Amino acid sequence: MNGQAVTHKRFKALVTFMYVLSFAAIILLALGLIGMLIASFAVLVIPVDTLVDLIKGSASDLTIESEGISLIVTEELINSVQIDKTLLVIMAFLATLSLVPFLMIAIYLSRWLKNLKNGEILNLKNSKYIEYIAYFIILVSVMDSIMTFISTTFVSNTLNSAMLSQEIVEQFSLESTIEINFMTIFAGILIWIIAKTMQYGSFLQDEYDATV
Amino acid sequence: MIVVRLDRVLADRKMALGELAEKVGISNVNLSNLKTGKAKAIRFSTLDAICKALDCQPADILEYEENLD
Repeated sequence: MNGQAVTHKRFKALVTFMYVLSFAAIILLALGLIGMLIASFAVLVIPVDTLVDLIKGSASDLTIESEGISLIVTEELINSVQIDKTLLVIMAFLATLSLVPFLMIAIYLSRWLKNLKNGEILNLKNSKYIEYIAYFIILVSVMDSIMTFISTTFVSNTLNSAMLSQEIVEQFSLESTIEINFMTIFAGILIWIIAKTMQYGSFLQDEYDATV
Repeated sequence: MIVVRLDRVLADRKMALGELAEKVGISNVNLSNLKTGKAKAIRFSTLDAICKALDCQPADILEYEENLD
């Protein structure tokens, strides 16, 4: 009985700690989402010339290095670059959207941990929360692939339009391909299976609770 | 469906639910769930303890009624 009490206390302490962490994650992600949304609307509204001026102001000492080649970002280079604003706006809003699955994962994780803290271990709600977390993990992988494709397309287009030699463009340009992170999808599917197992567990728990 | 006639037997024996719960060794809530038909199953050990406490047969407590649904 004493051993069980200690394990139980440790379990509760760990769950409480994780619950507080998840709550902090929700706040940080929500703030990040709001910031990204404001930045996305700013990119939409601000003219391209103003954006270029902003880049000039912030990238004055920027040097990009890759395998022995250094590219110093000069004002002339920035002036020669043609920024595809449509692609930039799409990138900004997609980056904002890509935070949403993370926020949802943190919210459902927080709800699940709160139930665990209250002693509700095996019930239908908890299994549903874990199922939703699994779906959002799979969504994270898909959105990450789309985001990578859009951003590499943007960088590739930008470099191609710049006043650079072909050799340097080839050195720094990125391939615009869609890469799917199968490990994340696999993890999502595994968590979904665990959720379904817990659903059956909650059914067994209900049966046990209803047995006199 | 199985209908629990515990209230009938309790009235015959003039025993309160709480007293029976104490004799059987289960909580008032669980015994109340059994009496009101909310319980989904009963263990043989519980049925044995109830019959011993009430000095009755399982058939006195449990009755089968055809479900009209």
